[in-house]
Amino acid sequence: MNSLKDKTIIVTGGGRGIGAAACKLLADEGANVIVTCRTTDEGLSIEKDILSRNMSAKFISHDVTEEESWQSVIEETLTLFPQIDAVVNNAGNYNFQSILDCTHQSFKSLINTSLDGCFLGLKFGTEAIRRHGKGGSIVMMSSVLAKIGAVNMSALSAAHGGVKLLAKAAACELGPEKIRINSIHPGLVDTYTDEEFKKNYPESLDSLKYEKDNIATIPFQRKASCDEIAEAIRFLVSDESVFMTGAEITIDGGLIAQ
Amino acid sequence: MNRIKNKVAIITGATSVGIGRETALRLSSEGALLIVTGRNEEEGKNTEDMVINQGGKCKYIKHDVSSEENWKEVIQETINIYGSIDYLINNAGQFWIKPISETSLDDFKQICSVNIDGTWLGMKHCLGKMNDGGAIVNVSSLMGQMGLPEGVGYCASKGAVTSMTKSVALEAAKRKIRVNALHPGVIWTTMVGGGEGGDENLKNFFIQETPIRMIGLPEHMADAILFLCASDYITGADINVDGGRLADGSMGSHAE
Repeated sequence: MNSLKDKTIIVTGGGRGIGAAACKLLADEGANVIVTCRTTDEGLSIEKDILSRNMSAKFISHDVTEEESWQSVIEETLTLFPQIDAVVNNAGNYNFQSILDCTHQSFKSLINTSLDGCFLGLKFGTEAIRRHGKGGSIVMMSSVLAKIGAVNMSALSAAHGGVKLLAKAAACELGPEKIRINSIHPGLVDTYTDEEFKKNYPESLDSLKYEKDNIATIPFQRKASCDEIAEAIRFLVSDESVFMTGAEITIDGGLIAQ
Repeated sequence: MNRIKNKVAIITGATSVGIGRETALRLSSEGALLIVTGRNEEEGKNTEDMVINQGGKCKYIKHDVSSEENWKEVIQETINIYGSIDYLINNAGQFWIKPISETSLDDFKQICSVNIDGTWLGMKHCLGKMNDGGAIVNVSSLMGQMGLPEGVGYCASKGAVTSMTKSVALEAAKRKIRVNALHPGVIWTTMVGGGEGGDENLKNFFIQETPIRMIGLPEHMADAILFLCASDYITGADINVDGGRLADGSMGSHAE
């Protein structure tokens, strides 16, 4: 499998969940994968996993909300590989709180990671891709919450709605340079065990019950696997989607078709 | 590559240089076993030969998608040849533009009979015979999501395709059969006055009004159709492969 041979791709939030699955799949398809995240042990673990299969990966510590951190990731990547072909803006935060329970600080924190982080990835990714002038692909991880409302998910909806239209605006602006921007909209994804979720998102424990109660409402009666979302990422960074920009891939088992 | 190895696919409208033929070649290159259909026997045979010449398995069947009898025959012959059905690519379609005041009711019914009835009949008669976990891809259009001056028949019929896709997706979900709509932008085929020997000025016009400054090609659609066939959790979705035209939302705004 070599649909991404010699492409260099930055994946944010690459240490766990969808990001980790994407890093492994893109590497297996021949890409040089830059695994970025804040948690060093997780990022190094994914790098090690990929290297052990004789594929190409490098972990770089990264806070997607900081411009300086983006600058460092781009510069370090370009010391290792000749050019950057794609950026997968996957890093995001989670919040499951009513509007009254969600503090302004929590709201801003969610927006900062999930929307501002995508904006900075778009900005720095575009600059990096422009350096070689051959075009490239930027993938924006949004959600079905960019298309429908849901109880206790106001902050997530606001962030993901912003990401969706940020992608479309960028697609119009950057199309002439062959820089493609598309968004992915997962429904429920089987990302973490309950224990991992409790550790990662202690403020949003009510979400565990919500997700279990709502699986029955998904026409496919199950969550997506991280690998299924990763496959859409692979498609969008590959040359199989060269005429695709400003588009959305919804992967939700039919959730919002009803 | 064998993402869909030995899966059986029916592809309608595969009898000309366009999305259907290119999809046949693409799915075959990934190991699928094909039935290609369409009204033009000579071109249908050509598609069959092209697939076989690249090492694939393919059988052409003459087919008018607006005929229920034809659909029953196509499905029965598919079962006779391969034993089952995994994918249905409802690609056959008709396109023309005409002012609404000059469009007769027969004109309107004609485009609807191909684009709506043809897609509906395919789903109706295939679903019961399809393997669980299969997929239907309905080739709709960007014009199923937006208006086009003098395109009332085309837009209405493609809008119906997009809409019924979601209903059937919900109905088929219990068997894990996925049903999605593909929305091509302008694809350089004979349908829009393009293809080999097409008008270069027209082609340049389309390129300039598309954000990514490219013309869409049948192979771009074939890649997206393969992606939808091979993806296990996407259903009821609209996938636009249009170079950014819907996102731009202002057709022609870039044209000079």
